[in-house]
Amino acid sequence: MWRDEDEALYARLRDESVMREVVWPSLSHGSGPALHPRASGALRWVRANVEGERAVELAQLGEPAALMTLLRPSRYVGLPPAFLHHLALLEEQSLRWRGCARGAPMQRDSHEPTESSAAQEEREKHVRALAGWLALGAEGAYLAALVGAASGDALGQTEQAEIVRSAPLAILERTAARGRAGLGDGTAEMLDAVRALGTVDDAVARAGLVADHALAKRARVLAEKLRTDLVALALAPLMERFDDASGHAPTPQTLDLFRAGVEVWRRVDAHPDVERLVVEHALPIGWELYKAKDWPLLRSLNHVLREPVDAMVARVQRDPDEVAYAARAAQMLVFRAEMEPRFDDQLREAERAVATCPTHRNGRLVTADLLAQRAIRTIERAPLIGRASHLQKAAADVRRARALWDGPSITQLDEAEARLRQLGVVP
Amino acid sequence: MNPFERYGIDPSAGPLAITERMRELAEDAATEEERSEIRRAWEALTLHPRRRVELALGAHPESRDEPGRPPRRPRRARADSELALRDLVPFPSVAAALGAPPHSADTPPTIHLPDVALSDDPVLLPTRA
Repeated sequence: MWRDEDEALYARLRDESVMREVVWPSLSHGSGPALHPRASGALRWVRANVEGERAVELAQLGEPAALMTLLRPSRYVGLPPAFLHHLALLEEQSLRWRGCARGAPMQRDSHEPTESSAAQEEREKHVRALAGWLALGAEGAYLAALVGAASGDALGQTEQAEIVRSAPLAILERTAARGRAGLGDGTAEMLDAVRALGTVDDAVARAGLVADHALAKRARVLAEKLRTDLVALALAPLMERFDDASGHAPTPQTLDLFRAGVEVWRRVDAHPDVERLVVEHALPIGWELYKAKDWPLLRSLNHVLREPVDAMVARVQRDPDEVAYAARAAQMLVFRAEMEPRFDDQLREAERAVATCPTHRNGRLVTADLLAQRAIRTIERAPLIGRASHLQKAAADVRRARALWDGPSITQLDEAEARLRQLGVVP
Repeated sequence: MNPFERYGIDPSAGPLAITERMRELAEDAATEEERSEIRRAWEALTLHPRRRVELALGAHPESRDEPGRPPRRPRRARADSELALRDLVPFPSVAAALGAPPHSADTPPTIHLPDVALSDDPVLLPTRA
């Protein structure tokens, strides 16, 4: 006779098998050690409806997609707390073992500030794990009961309440700890951690919390603090090296320092603090090289710093609060404009400098000079047929150059203007 | 590994249940080293309540279906009749094979078997080549 108890035992054993053979290998990419069979308790909640029961059956037959979707809900609102607890732990555990499996030095591809699909998957896991913990924290009663039961009489009410309050955010501390460890051994954990700590808003939304929910606010503040601390930690050795190098004439070895800076910048998810530090130290070096007419080294410096400078320019153009860095970003673009081998690229970078910082004196001067050069070329190359339109283009460049620069005379600009007048065109 | 999972302890169990489980594990431990490790884990879990709670939060909760009671064992069929002497006396051929002394028709054969555990019974031990 098949009793109710037999059915329950069968379901339990089946859940354990599906978790061990299908779900966990899928979550951990086969790299994690076996989970405790209790983890399969998550599937009991999945089986609470017909759709879930079917998904478990399909997983047992080797088709896990439907089950994995149910284990990764888009919203965590209203889910049973024990199920939330399982989901948060499963996602975080899969991250941990993925990290251990990847504990090799970073590869070149993983340095890219733009996220690869693997990095996006890691990020999603962080979001889901944090969302689970936030939803548990918002529910409150489950954590309070678990903390009370596990502590017994050993902890007072105040201490228990403090643990319940901090438990949903402890995952952020654990993430930062992995990042610190990654900084030491040169793995991608630092980059993953910095990125993960920037996902709080997504997790808050997925947990169903309003943006100004007290728990959401605390999560945001803590994540930002931990993120800033990680960046500062990554920057510390770099700052020492910059300090040591200051006051010395730039050499090709100086570029190694900037290469290291760009490496750190990539490792902390292109954090603006690193960008600013690198550019801050690059400007005096750039001026020294410029005055010494060491064009090869200045060109190399431009090349090494291309990515962080472009990121800084984009940030300044996007965010009015970044205006304090506009002049620095513009000057780096001016260095680049001076060194680009092709004229069109020179003018493009100079225009970007003016767009980034419209009042930047060097940017305006270099752009005006380049526009004057283009006007002279246009005049010299103007064909007989359609000559008038070419001359009008040259006149437009001269007018724009005059609008940009009203300082000391620019020889090329004066020449372009004089030639146009000789040809009967008033700029 | 989380000790609640390593040693199969319910994370919602308090210190008394943990002690009980750890005692069982220590009694079953095969080596002194294993026993020491269990003792260290027990100390870590019971002497530091805050750490215990943190570990409990990091362990999967018990939410599986209850395993339930196993089905009852089938009752043994009772013997149809009481045992008679012939049920207890070996057949002569068996007695001879086991080295019983000769017997008469009036005296049933008796076999003196060694009083040893089954694992040491020479009859059951595999023969060596």
